Amino acid sequence: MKDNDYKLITDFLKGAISIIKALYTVLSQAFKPRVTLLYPEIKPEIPEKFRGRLELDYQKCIGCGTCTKLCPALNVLTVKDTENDGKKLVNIDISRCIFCGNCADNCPKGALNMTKQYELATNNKKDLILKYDD
Amino acid sequence: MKQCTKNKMTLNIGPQHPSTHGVLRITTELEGEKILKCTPHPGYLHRGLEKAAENRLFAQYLPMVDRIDYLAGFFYSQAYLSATEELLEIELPLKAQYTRVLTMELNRISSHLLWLGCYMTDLGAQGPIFFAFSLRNEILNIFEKITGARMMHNYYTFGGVKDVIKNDILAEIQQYIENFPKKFKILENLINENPIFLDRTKDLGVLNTQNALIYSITGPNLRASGSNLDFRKEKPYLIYDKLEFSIPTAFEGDCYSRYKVRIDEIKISLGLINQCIDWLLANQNGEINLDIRPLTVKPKAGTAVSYTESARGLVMCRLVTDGSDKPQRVKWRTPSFYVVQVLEKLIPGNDLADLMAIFGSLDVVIPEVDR
Repeated sequence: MKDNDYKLITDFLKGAISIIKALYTVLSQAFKPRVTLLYPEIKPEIPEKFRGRLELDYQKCIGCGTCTKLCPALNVLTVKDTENDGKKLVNIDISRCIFCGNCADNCPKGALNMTKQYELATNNKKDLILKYDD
Repeated sequence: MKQCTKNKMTLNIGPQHPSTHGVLRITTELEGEKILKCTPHPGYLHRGLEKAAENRLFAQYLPMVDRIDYLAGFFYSQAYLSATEELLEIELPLKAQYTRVLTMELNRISSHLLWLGCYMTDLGAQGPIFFAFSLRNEILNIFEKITGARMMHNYYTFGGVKDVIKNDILAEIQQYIENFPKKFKILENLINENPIFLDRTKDLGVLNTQNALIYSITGPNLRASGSNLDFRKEKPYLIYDKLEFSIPTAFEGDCYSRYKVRIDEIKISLGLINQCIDWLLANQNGEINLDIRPLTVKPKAGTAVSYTESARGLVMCRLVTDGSDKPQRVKWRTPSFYVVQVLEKLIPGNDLADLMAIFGSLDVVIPEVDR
């Protein structure tokens, strides 16, 4: 019985000390600078290799179809015949894109690029579809 | 009151439960507060990733592999690629191997840190998650600089990695590792001796070695139960046989020892990263990949199995090919799937309040279970 009481008291003291220690650690953090970003006002720094919205340079595109073959999400990139001069060109549907970067990495002419744009929310789905006519 | 305790009640937990890290439904049979029976129902996050491989090229399937376990994607890329590379009969350049190990060990730390923060929230401690996530955020920032994405990296490629890690990023990683113990000390101060944490985790959800092996549990969960099975030592892949590291084990098999093993694993990963950085700084020149064009990947017909020790346990990828440019069959062995099965054994007999304390300690990621 006495042993039990002794153990209770030591356990209580140990617990109290550890909680005081934890409180001290937390309080000491209160005077440190902020870690989080105030996002919409302050934009994060985007690194060089960031994979954002796809962009296609229609001057460079030769319609070879490498990008369509390597796309894991299927139907993001589709090769279409254009009506004038019979050239084949690519249409892009960003709403299905998973931003893996396979297409841009393997484009033989460097026409496809991944930009640093990441705010893609829109009210109009047509904003997410890139066509030659536009 | 008497009637209430006499009648058994069935209670559904999930699928949308904040502690299940995804969508897992658990049906429990209760008698008062005691759980008599527990049945997990996985499958709410099934995306058909094994079937998807069959109508995609080898390179086309590669980005999807990261999404099997979004918290530790590098391990899955490594498992899939090492099976493919075995059939392609190529050997990786040394620099690529060191880069892969460096990124994988960083990924292991980030995955364990996320587990630590979330597990503490499961137990009702609101503080530690902020410290754990700010530590993890620094790793994700480094990943973003190396690979271009924070979680879905798509960084490894057939025969190596896509890009060199530049010296300034290596210096940044070194700086991070130098500061890590100081920042991690805050977390340890908050958790290690906290009486509530100790009461809620010690002698709870005890999984003995025999049961763990019967249910074929691997990774930190098995090592917390007394076994020292680690596939980095058992079947060394890449350059793990050249690196020096020990395997942390614990013998109690309860929630606390699972916590302890993961904390020790973080510290051992730091040492491994240091060794990799030293090698990479000493060997500036060298190939990082074999310049294989992804469209032309066409392994010979055959079967290959790869073993990878991920943050959650053993990942196996069995690849069957028929000599064409698409895999015939990709079979994934994911560690969390087996951990979910063991809930039937671990949970009954405990209180309802302890359900998430036990489930959280096992570090289950549901997309990995359902894949």
